[in-house]
Amino acid sequence: MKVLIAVDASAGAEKCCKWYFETIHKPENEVYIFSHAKKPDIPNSAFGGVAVLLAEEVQRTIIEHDCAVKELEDKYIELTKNEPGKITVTVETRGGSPGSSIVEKAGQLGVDVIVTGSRGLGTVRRTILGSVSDYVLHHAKLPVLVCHN
Amino acid sequence: MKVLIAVDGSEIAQKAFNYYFENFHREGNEVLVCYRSEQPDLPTIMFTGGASFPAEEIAKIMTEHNKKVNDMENQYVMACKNLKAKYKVLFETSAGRPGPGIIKLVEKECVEMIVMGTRGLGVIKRTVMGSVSNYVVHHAKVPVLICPN
Repeated sequence: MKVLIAVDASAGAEKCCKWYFETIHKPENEVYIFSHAKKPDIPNSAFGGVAVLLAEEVQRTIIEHDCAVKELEDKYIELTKNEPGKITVTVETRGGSPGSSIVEKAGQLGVDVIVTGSRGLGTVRRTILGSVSDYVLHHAKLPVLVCHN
Repeated sequence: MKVLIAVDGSEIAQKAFNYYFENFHREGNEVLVCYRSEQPDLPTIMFTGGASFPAEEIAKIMTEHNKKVNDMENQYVMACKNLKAKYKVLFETSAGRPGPGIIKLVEKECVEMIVMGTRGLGVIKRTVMGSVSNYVVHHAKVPVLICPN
């Protein structure tokens, strides 16, 4: 079975991933751990109405972003290094929403099930289900496993 | 791990049951198959040349309903036996709504994962997810696997 585990930098995603490997994983499963990294906002500033791109700032933003991406990838590679079976960790920087990114990636990889936490780094705590897992549930035409903590 | 598979009389529920056993079941998992059936619509007053309390009609409807539920129960008991799984089958008809009934059962039995279809026997097909799975996915405090058709 091909599995896509949708993660972000949150503790919830890590718990969800660990839970999957402890209780669900089988060595013959092919696992893709995927994270959608939002394209960083390139800073610019206006000087008397004229927009100026601050080259240094931009470079710094990109370097910070790439570091965060690598950190996340390394975290999940470390987490899963002792697990049996084929496991691939991918953090992709994309535009668009994480939800549609996940659904698209799942389609591209031809996975059989999507595993996702119930909420991630989002700030709105009123809802029980985060926007991304909610999106995936309603748009993936695949089984979705929502891991509440 | 204790897993609850919430079924109704629909084909999707059956598919979700099979899907769980084919791809997720691990030896040693205890499976609870539950059906929180809603009480069928009972007539209150019948007019057949004068108002009369339709006791016979009610008895007939309840007997038919109970027979259907029993047959389904036996079907799932047989399936679990054939799969050699540790199992419990809990079928109940009540006046309450299935969603809250499932959540209560999950808490009472300390279930660790819920499996169910996206929709069941419900009539309104406009939404992606039926009302019961929608309720469960938003109120469960444990992972929920939602299986589309």
